[in-house]
Amino acid sequence: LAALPSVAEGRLIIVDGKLVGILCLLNDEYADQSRKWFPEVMLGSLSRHCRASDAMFADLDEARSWLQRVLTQQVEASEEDVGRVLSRGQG
Amino acid sequence: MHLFAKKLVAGGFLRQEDAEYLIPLCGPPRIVPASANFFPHEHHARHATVILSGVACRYKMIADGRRQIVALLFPGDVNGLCDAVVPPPSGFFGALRACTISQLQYKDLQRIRTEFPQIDVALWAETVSHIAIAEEWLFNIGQRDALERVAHLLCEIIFRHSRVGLVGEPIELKMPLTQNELADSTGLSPVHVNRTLNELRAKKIIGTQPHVLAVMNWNRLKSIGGFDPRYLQFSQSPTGEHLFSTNRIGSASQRSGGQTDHR
Repeated sequence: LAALPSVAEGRLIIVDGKLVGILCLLNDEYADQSRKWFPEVMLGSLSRHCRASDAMFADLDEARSWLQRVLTQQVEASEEDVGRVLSRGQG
Repeated sequence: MHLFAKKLVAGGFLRQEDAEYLIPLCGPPRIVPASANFFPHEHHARHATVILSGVACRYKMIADGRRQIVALLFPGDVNGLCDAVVPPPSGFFGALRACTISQLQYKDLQRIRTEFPQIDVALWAETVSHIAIAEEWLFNIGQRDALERVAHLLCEIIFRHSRVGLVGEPIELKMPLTQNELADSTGLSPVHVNRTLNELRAKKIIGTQPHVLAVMNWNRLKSIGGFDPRYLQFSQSPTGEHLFSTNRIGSASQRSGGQTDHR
């Protein structure tokens, strides 16, 4: 974290044994965002969620439920894709 | 003087007497409140919009709320000069801060195109300048890291205000964008923008006063952002002599005449 002096702590986000992102705890320099957890990096198709305005958490529990929500959305979206492909196949 | 004409005259694209013809064509000033959309791009406007004060932008949205600001418009800039000829791209055109604007009617642009080619060239220069800025932004977002991107955009903001006389020495202006707007212009998260601004403040490159963009070390800021202002300069000669004496840019009749008489 030497390259990021404004980050107090970090956590790897691992889902089903796979690394999907990194959470950082912001230090006191951030005014209203200070001491909040923030997804510094999200990998692959989760990357877009880094820029969401709601991606800022008071504690790790909040971060966990956010991640749960994001992953559920992701699964639903990919099921929709599969559904669309199937219906196109039938048509 | 009218900032739009002032910018084109200073860039060497518009002669004073032509500016005096162009200025009255821009309609009376009108105030547009902050966060108002002028109109969606697909709306069939009948005029280009000249920004006289404030900050406007063109932006695109994704349904989940993500926004990309694709162009910023500062005093002296014009939106929609091409829209009279080619249908505008999709997206929105809105005021980030309260703006004073005036309207340049398409029918007048048509008349300029046929009757006053020397003014038409100046309007082309304005359009080409926006394309150059867009390319620089593409480069910024595609290749530069967070610190470089923000530094580059801050340099551009300062430079674009300075060429219409709204920034001098010391380099200082009311911060035209919020951190969220900087983030949406650079493809970064607000956290990254916040961090980057803090870093620039800690290095004493920009000032610490809130809502003010004060540059303490212009050379450092330029070098971090890799900022080369040539893409914002209309011509190599600030007096425009180079342009008007050699006719390097001009209408066909000017080129065949080879003289500087533009009327």
